[in-house]
Amino acid sequence: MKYLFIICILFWNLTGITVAAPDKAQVMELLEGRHWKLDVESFQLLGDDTDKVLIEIGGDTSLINYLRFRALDALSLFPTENTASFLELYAEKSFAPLARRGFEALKNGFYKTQPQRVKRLAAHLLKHPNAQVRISAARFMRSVDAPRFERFLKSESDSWVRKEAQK
Amino acid sequence: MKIKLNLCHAAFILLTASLLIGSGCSKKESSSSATSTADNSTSPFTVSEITQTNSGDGYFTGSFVVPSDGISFLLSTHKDNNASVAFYSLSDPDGTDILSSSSTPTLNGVASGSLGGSGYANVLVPQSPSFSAKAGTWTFKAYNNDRVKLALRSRSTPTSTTIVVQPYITGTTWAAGDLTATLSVMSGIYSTNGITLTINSTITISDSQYAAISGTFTDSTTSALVSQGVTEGVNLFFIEDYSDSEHLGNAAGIPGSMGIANSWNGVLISLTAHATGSTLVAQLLGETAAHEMGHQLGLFHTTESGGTVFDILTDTAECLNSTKDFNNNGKMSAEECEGYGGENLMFWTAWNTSSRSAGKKQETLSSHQQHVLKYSPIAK
Repeated sequence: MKYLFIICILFWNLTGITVAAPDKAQVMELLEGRHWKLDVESFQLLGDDTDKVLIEIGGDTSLINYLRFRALDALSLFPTENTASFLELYAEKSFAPLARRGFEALKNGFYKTQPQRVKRLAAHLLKHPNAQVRISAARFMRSVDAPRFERFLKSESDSWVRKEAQK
Repeated sequence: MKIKLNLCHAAFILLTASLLIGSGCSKKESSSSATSTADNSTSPFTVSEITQTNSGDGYFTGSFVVPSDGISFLLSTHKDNNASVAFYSLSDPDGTDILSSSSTPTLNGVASGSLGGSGYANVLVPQSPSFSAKAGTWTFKAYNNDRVKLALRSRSTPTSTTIVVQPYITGTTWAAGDLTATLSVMSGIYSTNGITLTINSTITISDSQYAAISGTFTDSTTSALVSQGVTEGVNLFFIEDYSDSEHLGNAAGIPGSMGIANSWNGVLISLTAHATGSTLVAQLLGETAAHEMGHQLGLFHTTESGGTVFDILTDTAECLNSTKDFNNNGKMSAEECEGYGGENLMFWTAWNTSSRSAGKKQETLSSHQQHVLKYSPIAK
């Protein structure tokens, strides 16, 4: 009985170690590289609370953009409500490169669990002043709502945007 | 004398090509002539299309002559529909196949011409001081392709080296003048390593479709942009942003194309990625431009991210995962590799933010890296 108790305590402690928020420097290191691809496994090893650190990095305007962009991309691996709210906010309110990435991360992280939420944001972004944001939203819409995508093509004035949206 | 020989050779190839076309045995006819030059007939840099013969075993063979004053060449195979292309073999005048795994040295598994590429692949000689553009007849065997081209440099001795650089800028957030400090950093890096850059005036490309583009060179929009590059130098496309990736920059190959206007004739560098707020970080941006240009000219990462793969050069530092991954995260940071290649321009990643703030720079190239650049077909 005594041993069982010790094992339980050890297990509880180990669990605690696994889910503790990672050090910011650890997360930042995974965002470095001249060429970068989301390393799913390495991020998942950091634990569940990594989203808090990524949100902090993504929202830090004093940081160089590539770190913020990559933090948003990595957030798609941590689909919490905090993450969704943050990405929606950035997709709607921030400058275009960050807005597009906010939408892309929301789409990648939440489409399976909250498709309507992603679709709602995409519909809104079809009217975004930045062409790349519209293209990103339109490509998503093409896969989930063909009639709406067709309406977008009819209303979009830039021919190159229509072409890119269909790629 | 050399010119006469070249002209005779060209005439012979043309004659052979026309005969083969007539008999239906030829792989491809030359586009307009067997030998065309990037500048003129006296240029030390020539680009020619090589006539190939269907060898009947699924391969296409061809040959070319490197003159006695030949310095370097880039042999490339092309497929217009972007299907896979590669060379099966490339034998030097002594009969050594430098793409064979049993040869020493070898570019097997190193050159894109050995590994294969989508629509384009090549072999650069020399890609390390272990190789040389030996004078004499080289022969190759290629997989199905639309054409094979040779960019050949001869006649000049690479003691002082100059490379022409043509910068472009897309988007509307930044203007050509915003690149001044960046280009100065890049020029300084190459100068420190014995190479003079002649940097042309930056060309602004205002079409909105090129502001943010794919990092894939076979993408139709990226291809249309990069194909605008000049043929006499290295093209740097400072794009406003990538539309589908989070790179700081990427080159069209290791090396990319040289002297031919095509989808692989340049590198992409993201401006937005290098900005804090709306201010470009000139030192990092300059290092990235210099780094991507190094790839475009044939340099690999000295150490790859995992610390288990290294370049083919024998004088570049290797930062081993087994001894230097102090935090055991499987990634070799520049900080962990300080003194072991972390300061090399071609290390896989830049110094982190705090190191950069402390003044750390990646500006060094080894003697062998400099050799590859100084012997580059596109250099003078």
